[in-house]
Amino acid sequence: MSDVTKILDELAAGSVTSESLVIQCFQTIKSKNDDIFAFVRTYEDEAMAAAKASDARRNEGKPLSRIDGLPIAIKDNFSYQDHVTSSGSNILKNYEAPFDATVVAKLKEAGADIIGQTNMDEFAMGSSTENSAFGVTKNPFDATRVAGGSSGGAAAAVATDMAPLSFGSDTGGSIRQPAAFCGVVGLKPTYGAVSRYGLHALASSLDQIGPLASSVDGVEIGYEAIQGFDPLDSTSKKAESVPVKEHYTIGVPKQFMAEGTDSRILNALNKTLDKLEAAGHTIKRDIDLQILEQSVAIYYIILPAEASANLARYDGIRFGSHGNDVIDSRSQGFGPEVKRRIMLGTYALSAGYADKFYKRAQSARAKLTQELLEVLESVDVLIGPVVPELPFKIGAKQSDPLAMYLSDIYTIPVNLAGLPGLTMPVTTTEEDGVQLPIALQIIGRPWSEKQLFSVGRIIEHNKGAS
Amino acid sequence: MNSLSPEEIGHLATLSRLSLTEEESTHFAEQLGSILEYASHLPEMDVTPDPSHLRVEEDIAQPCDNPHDLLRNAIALENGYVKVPAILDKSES
Repeated sequence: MSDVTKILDELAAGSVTSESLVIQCFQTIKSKNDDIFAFVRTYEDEAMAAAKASDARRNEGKPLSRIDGLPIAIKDNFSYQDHVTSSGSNILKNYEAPFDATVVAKLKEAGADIIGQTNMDEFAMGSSTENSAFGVTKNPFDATRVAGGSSGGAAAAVATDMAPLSFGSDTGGSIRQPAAFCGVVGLKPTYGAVSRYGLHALASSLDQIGPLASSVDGVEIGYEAIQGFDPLDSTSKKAESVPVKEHYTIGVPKQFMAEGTDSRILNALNKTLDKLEAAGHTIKRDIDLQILEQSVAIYYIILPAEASANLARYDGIRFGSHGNDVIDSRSQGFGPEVKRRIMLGTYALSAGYADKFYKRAQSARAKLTQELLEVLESVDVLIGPVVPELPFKIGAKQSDPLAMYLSDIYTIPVNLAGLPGLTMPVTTTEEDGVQLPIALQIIGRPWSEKQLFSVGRIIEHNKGAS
Repeated sequence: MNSLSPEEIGHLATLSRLSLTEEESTHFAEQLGSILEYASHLPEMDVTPDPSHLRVEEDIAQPCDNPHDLLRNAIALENGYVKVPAILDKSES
């Protein structure tokens, strides 16, 4: 399936129909989903009916929006009215959402056609989609490797052409890391830019919904469709805008180029930076942000603390699968990673430890935010890797949670500081006889999404040049 | 801190409203211990978090279109209320 912009042009010109697009998506889903497991649930009949209605609107010259009739996928943690919405968890395997998340409502109002819900780590806790209660999503480049996570299904669906545009959520890298592992483009928007209303909460001060597609243009279209102030989300903000430029000053924090990151990733990054420099952009390689080294420690205190509070609502009484009592419902319903993080958060917030852990982490988070915002006064954007390594083998990190957490080092600071981050593939490299994608990350100041798209397009254009 | 003690794990499970198998307790004691050990090296910073960006909305009651629908996932309903097992004996009330 082609890129979102091309599909939309063809829909507008009448050279393809929404119905034919949906048929194509389901042909691909039927041939690939059993192996890849990008989708946990699909809705072929509903999607076909919606496509026909969309085609009728277009025939009358009355499309609801530019994306009317576009097949899309949503992550399994977006409340989707009258549909099971399970967050990859056994505790919600039969839970039917009684209302739509704001993002889902916006997409429906725009006429987008939801073809299914994508697999994820349980309650978005994980970096590999191995923690889903329903099965592991495989990497489309090599089925023995992980697709990344927690939005592994969202990234794999786009990478395998099961859907041209999908939406995930990102709390510490959950859109950007799987996008990098699956060779697609992904955006974590500015905190407050997209409503969290109806998104199953993981860590409320960090969660953001964002789009994944095969190009920067596709991601921009997805972002425009879902962003905007929402009174139903108390941290939603009115959009501001940072203007696009012709020439950018790009900072590269030393800590982003540190040893320990796969040299093939660093080489690809350096090549891209050289091309940008040759194209007239200024590269500043002397940015020193030592606080970035503390990101994982800060994050794995704040995230579990917020998660343990958010997941207290799962009592098996008002919703969710129920056992003999509250404790039984939770113990049967939650998987190991969820239990681990609830207990970690409970520890960090408990009497006697809150000062040493939670308060210290809050103050370090404030310091990190301050320093990142200061640096972003002197440069337009920061560029660095997304993940320190190539997609790893399924099972490789399952017994060592700390090793799994440390692979989030480059994506976490963006969430802690509320910044937008765009990831995009730049090249591939061979390992064990398969080509694996390598991606980079562009980070900007709050509300600089348009700048990130603009820098991303410059990189897309220069990809072939050497 | 390398591993949490069985007592610490038991206490945390109670606070977290979880009951753990023996195997889970053993694993979590080790894994939580190493994560907390890593996090405990976080230095103290001289910055105070500023919560001013958080918008606090006035709490205004609004009509709900589908109150019964919102309870469709509850364990049991009676007269529009969620029905739960008694937690107090009559003798205690």
